[in-house]
Amino acid sequence: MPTPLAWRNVTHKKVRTAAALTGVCFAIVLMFMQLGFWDVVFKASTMLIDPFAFDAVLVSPQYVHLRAAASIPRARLAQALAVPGVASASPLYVVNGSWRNAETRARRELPILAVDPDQPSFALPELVRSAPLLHQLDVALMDARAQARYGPIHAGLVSELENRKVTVGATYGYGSGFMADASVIVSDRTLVRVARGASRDAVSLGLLRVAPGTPVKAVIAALKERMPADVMVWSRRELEANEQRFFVEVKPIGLMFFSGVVLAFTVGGIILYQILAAEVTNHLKEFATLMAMGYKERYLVGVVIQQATFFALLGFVPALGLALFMYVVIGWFTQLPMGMTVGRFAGVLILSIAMCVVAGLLASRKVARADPADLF
Amino acid sequence: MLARNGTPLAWRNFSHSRARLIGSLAGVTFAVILMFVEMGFLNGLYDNHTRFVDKLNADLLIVNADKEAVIPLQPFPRRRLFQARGQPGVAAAYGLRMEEMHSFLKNDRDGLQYPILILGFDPAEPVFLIPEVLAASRQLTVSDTVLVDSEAKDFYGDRRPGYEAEISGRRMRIVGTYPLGPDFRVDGTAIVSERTFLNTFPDPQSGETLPDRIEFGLVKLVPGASLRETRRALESVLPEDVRVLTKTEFSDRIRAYWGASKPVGYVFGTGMVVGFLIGVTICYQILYTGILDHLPQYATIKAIGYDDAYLVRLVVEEAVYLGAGGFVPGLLLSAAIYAALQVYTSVPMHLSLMRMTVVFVLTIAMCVVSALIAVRKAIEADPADVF
Repeated sequence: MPTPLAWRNVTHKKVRTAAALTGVCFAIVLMFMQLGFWDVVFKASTMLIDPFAFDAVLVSPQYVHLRAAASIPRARLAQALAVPGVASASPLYVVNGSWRNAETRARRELPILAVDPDQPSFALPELVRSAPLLHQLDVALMDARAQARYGPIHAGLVSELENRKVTVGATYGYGSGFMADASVIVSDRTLVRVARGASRDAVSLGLLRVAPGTPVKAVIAALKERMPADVMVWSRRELEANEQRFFVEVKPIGLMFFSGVVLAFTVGGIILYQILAAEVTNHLKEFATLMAMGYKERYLVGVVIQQATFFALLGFVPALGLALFMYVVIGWFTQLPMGMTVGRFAGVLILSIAMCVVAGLLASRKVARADPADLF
Repeated sequence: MLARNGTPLAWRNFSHSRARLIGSLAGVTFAVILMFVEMGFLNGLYDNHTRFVDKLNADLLIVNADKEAVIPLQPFPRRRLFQARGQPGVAAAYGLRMEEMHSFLKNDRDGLQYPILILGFDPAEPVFLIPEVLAASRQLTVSDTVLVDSEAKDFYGDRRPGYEAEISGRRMRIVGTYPLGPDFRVDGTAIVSERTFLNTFPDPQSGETLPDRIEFGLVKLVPGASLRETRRALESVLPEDVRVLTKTEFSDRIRAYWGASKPVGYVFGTGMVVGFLIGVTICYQILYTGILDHLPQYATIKAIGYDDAYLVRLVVEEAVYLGAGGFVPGLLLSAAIYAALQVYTSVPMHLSLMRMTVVFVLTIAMCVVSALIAVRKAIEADPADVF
């Protein structure tokens, strides 16, 4: 039959279709939002270590997460360097401390990160450029994307770290994610001056870089053999997975966001069914007539599926636009990296079409049962 | 609202077709559930952190001026408690100590040290409003005994009374448990006596005890004393490094901290807004379809002489039935979902009368909004076109 029935159905009653499409659109937006937030949990849990360059890491067997890292002896770094394939071994210290808001004078808690200024192992270009400043004592590099409660942050600012005067040599912009509301980087010598109980020998993480061209797995295997039992060797991916696991599976925030995703899909699916069932019901008379004319049930089911797909696609496009807008707005407010990924885009698109088609199929069972005689 | 001859027209329209009725209500029900659950998460976040304060036995709290929430820790000198005790109206001033960054509980099975929040108090002082803690206070006077949170995360391991636990390298005997629950930052808590606390967390450099770090000062008023005056007396005698707050005021500080500090507010707030919008579109679709189906009848009513205002009231009334009818099953289902989520996330999901009212009002609002948009079709109905 040459008439594109499904398309005509969709475009015929403009207002009613617009209403239905709005519902489809919002259901899809909800899915995009909740999935986006959930993704943020993954990204936000590793933000403190993202600015550092490393392929593998040495941690204590007692390591729980970045702010409960326990420590390893600094000597292990030199030992790691002796293993073939290891290009550099840099210490990273993570110590809990406090920062004084330069404006309000209020003390705010934050993690103090410390590095060896001769080999800081930075990945972020801004940090690489500012690294030489760390050779000076009591100079800090501070993340400008801190929560407002930490006060003004700019190069040249003088404030206090653990009640000791420090100067902000330069700032960088990254964000601390869920692990902290602000963060600051100093040299290891500054750290022991500032933080009671910190020692240059107690390293939180040993950041290892592998020589270019060498397979990381092989180096890690070699390290595992050579290093004593008081350190664990993890790949970067394993470290990140550990941090993420903590937030996603353990911390309530990950569980809440996951519940939000489940909710969005369940309710979204039900709402899509509602909308499509209503659409089928609206055309019941026409469908019944077609069947009376001799068209097979299969043909009509095909029409319903096509209609469902049109709905999904037509609702998807504005939903995508709205979602992208929301990502930007919320990302800006919360200083968290909210963005669209190809995977999420494709996943939601396919799921939306699938849900609409399933909804259409369920609804079309009514069509099959439609007896023309009953309707007229 | 009755037509001139007394027929409850809106109600009849609404309840006419059973199958359609169920379908419509189901749609509204799910929008209601969406709003309830998003709001539940939002409130749960705050309740989660303020419930600790609820368990403190205090009329007024003394806290460090910079203290923003239960955690992060910002202690003040013990001397403030002595200063408070001398004031008129103050019956008692208890001290509560806390340690977070240096406190770990070792799980004997996997040997890992898990961060835990340790609370220390003088067992002779009724610091906590938790019955299990009050009952076990006497046992805590024995050195190196500990009470463990029964609702703390599983990885803390066995916590039955009689078991030994290792906290920050110190072996202690578990003499009881209490139900408190984790929050977004600490996965569990444990309570020890002040003596045990001071022995467990000495000065890292000198090894001596640090008696001076108090996290919360709990002030109890003499029966009949004026809260305002006692507070003023305390504020005048205590220096600027501390503040005197009511429990409610401190809870507000906690809410402000968590609201600003984590994106949960935005996340679930937008979820609620989207839920509301979805509800509006569903209601609109239902009402609009209904109007289209009854277009001849609406046109006829207009032809008889009823004015537009009557039609508007008719559709709005129908929308209210829709909202109210969808709200009840939505509420019941949400209550069940709240219970399940509370178990899954350890976040308190609490349905108060106030919160039910908020969602009810939102539900009715969403239906009325959609009615006002949909009714334009009924108003446009022209008898001449229909027949």
